[in-house]
Amino acid sequence: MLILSRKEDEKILIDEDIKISIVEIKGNQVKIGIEAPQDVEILREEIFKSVEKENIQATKERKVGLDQLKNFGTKNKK
Amino acid sequence: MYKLEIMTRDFGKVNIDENKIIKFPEGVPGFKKEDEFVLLPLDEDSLFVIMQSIKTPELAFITLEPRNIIKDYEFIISEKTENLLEIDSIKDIILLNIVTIKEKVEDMSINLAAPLVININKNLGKQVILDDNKYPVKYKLENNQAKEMMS
Repeated sequence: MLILSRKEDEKILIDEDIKISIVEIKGNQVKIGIEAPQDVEILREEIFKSVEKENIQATKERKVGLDQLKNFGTKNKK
Repeated sequence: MYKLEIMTRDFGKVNIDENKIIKFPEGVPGFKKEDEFVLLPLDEDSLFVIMQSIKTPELAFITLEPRNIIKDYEFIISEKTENLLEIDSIKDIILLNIVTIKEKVEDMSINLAAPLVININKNLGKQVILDDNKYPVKYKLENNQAKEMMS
């Protein structure tokens, strides 16, 4: 991992087309600006991780049979 | 049209049309290598659709269309996703959200933060992660809503 020190208003370039700027440093929070091409996906890591975790959870063994699910909110009732 | 026999978690052996297989070019979070699924309705009247992996019989998600649960579910589909899924029109798209059930049906939670966006005409899908804190990963049904749906 590359570790760089930056001050407020300083920037980092990745591959010339991704620009990361340190917008503001306040206490224990850093505001970061990211300029990147449309095809670059930017996500907060913890959100991605929570979706990963939820997907795994969703496929784990459940204690409910499918028959019980079939009775839950059928289309005809809508 | 080719028929394919696959083993499923919930329905045993099932014959599916090869052209019903939906490609997830990026896999799904937590299952990066799972890139082919098929949608199998739980039964004719059910709100639930099982999204079954083609490769892995024991891997299946319980899903439902968000309009059955909440009104005004909305988000922006990025250009990248539009390109990946070859979306030309909003009519191409169906949305499904993954349901997590542990002990009781009425305690289910629905992942509204990461909808499955599927281009039903091109059989391409992606689980889109909405990075805006607008919708929760574990959306719980209101008590009365759950009861109503159980009755």
